[in-house]
Amino acid sequence: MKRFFQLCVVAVTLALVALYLTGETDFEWQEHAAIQAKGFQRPSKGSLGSASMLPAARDRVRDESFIDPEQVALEKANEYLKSHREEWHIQSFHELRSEMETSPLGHSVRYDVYQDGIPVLASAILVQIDLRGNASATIDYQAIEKIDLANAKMMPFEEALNNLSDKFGEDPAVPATPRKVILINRTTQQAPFGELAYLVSVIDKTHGTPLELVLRASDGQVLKKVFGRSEIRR
Amino acid sequence: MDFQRDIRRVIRFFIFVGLIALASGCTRTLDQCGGPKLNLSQISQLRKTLFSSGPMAALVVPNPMDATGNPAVLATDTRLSQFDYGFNLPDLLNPNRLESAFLKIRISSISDAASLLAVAGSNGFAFSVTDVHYSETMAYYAVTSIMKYVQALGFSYNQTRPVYVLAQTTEQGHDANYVNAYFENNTLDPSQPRVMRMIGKTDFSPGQDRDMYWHETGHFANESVSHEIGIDRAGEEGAFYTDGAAIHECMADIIAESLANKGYIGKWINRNFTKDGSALRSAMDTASNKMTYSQVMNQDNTGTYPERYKVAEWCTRALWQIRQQFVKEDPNAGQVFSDRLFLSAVSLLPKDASMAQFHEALVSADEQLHCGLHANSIDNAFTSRGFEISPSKLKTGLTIQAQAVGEDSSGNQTALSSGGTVAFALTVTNPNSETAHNVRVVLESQSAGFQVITYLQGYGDLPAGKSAIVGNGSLPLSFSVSGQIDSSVPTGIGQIHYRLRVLSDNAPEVDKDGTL
Repeated sequence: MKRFFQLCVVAVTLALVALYLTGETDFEWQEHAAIQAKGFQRPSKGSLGSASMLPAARDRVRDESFIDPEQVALEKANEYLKSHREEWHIQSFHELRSEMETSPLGHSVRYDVYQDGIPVLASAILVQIDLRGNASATIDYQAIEKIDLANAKMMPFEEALNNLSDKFGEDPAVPATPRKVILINRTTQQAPFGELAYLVSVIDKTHGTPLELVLRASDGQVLKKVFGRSEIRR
Repeated sequence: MDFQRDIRRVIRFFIFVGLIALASGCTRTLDQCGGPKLNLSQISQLRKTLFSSGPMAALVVPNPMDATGNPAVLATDTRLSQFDYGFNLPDLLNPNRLESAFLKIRISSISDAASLLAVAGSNGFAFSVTDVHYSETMAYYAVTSIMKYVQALGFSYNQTRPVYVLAQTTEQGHDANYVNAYFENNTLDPSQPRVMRMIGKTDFSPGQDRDMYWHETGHFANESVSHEIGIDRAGEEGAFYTDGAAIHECMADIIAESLANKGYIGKWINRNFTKDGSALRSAMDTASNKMTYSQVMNQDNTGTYPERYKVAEWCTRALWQIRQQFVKEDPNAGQVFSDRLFLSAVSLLPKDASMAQFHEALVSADEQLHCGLHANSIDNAFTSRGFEISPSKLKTGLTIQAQAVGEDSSGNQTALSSGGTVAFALTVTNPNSETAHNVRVVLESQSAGFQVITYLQGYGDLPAGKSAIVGNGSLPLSFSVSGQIDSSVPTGIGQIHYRLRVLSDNAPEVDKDGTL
């Protein structure tokens, strides 16, 4: 009987050690994915310490061994983008600027598209890195020919806005600061093409509502309107 | 023999321990299934909107009506000072100014002179409710507090551009009694700040109410969490109704309601419209107002159409029901986990999201965060309110009749003209014997001289045999998709081609091509 109890004590100790070593209950999958991606061994539960949010998680690991999950996710997203660049027909003259966002389900890197520093509107690639480090993408990108900015025909902005002065006016709350942008003209019967345009915040004079207005730079034609989100019906 | 018996006992013991371990795995609690851990003690403080540093502000939260429980109370009531509480205002760049590196409080314009704005006195930021500086103070406290809560849940905000809050401004063409609020994400322009406007200076100004700031900041959360993918891009580009718009409003309401733990929103602003003390929207059913999906979603041939705020209210009731399940499982932290689940679902939504996709995203987020423990609760919250998770596929596409017409800036029908706006007098009919869900019309240009402006309109659900009618004395032309003809292109000679696509979640697509 005495030997039985000794065996039991050993068994309980082994079981607790096994549970301790394999316990995943307070393991952070984001860190796990980040560390796995770097080829590191999973750290023991002890090195992770108590439960807390990300800043505290950083504190748990010594500086020399700290792996920033956001940095790892960004690198993964960049690699994923690079490996698909040809497949997605991303033009060499299009610069992609990244922005990282974090959620409990992983990381997202949004790449906005620019040509010579001018934003290409409503054009972006979103690469998501899930909790296990898997990458996937949502593509809202159209390959278009490069716009010859040096020789593009441009109506002065003031003239373009003046032609629409019966409909739109300057927003006194948000002074108009026009910005050059590129809008992709998508029709179903021809290849999409880019148009140089002006983007400006204005007020719709009929309804009094604020909106973003996109005007074709060459002739002032309205190309797009984007409205603010109102609490009461406009 | 004794030894063999002992070995058998040890094996039985291991089996017992294994079963215990297995059982513990089968009864996981809310925080035990993947996803980052939450610092619940920190979140508990944030739920009380308490911060440990920064100058003090004296505020009646969330607003005088809710704080006093008196539906007839006025902002001018001097007894309100008995109901104010002190809150620290964190992260100020200058302890005397309501401005952080990211959040800038103004009154009526982003270029307001500093001399017009609130300055801390000897008691900190303490003003009477009717003082505009009170609204500025409420703006800073409210936006900061809900942002910090959402961040503590593990979400990041896109802070590449600042947010300006205009705490008491007016809308052009209206006097100071006109009440509204706006959130402008200015998605297109990465150099433009985001702007939140509280419109109106009345006895019940929106700028005096925490609910309003929490709701509008909820729109900002939706945009950040969804990576600005455009869950309601069509709504931003002029659609009167889309499911994405309803989801946007629903989420802006539910996080504000849940954080305040009060199940309704907008009693204060609603006093501008009614004296009965009712809320603008409620996440809880009442005996006289139990919403069903068909009540808020169906076109009924009489000019009644789905309305984003009504559908949003229906949606918050479904989410509130899910929240109740979480609270039942964990009375202390259930509401925190449910808020995280809802926002996580938003992070999974595609461009121009539908209510069906939102339901799927909730199930998927729960699978990733909580092992799918709440799949039945989520399904039940939706189906018990009339939502069909797997509607039967309709055999026949919807029919569409369309006539292109000109539209002036007031939405009146005019003749087609070069340089003018084109809208469509539409009749979309469901010829099937069952409801067509999430009916939409999409406009596509097939000619370079025709630019689509409002590319999609949503018409909700069309019951069997019913029609959505735009123009011709029914819904106004602003319910139509629309485009702009180049001034260089003559009309009437067949140079402009377009396509109208009729979509539904459960009916085959129908296309109709036309020429201007």
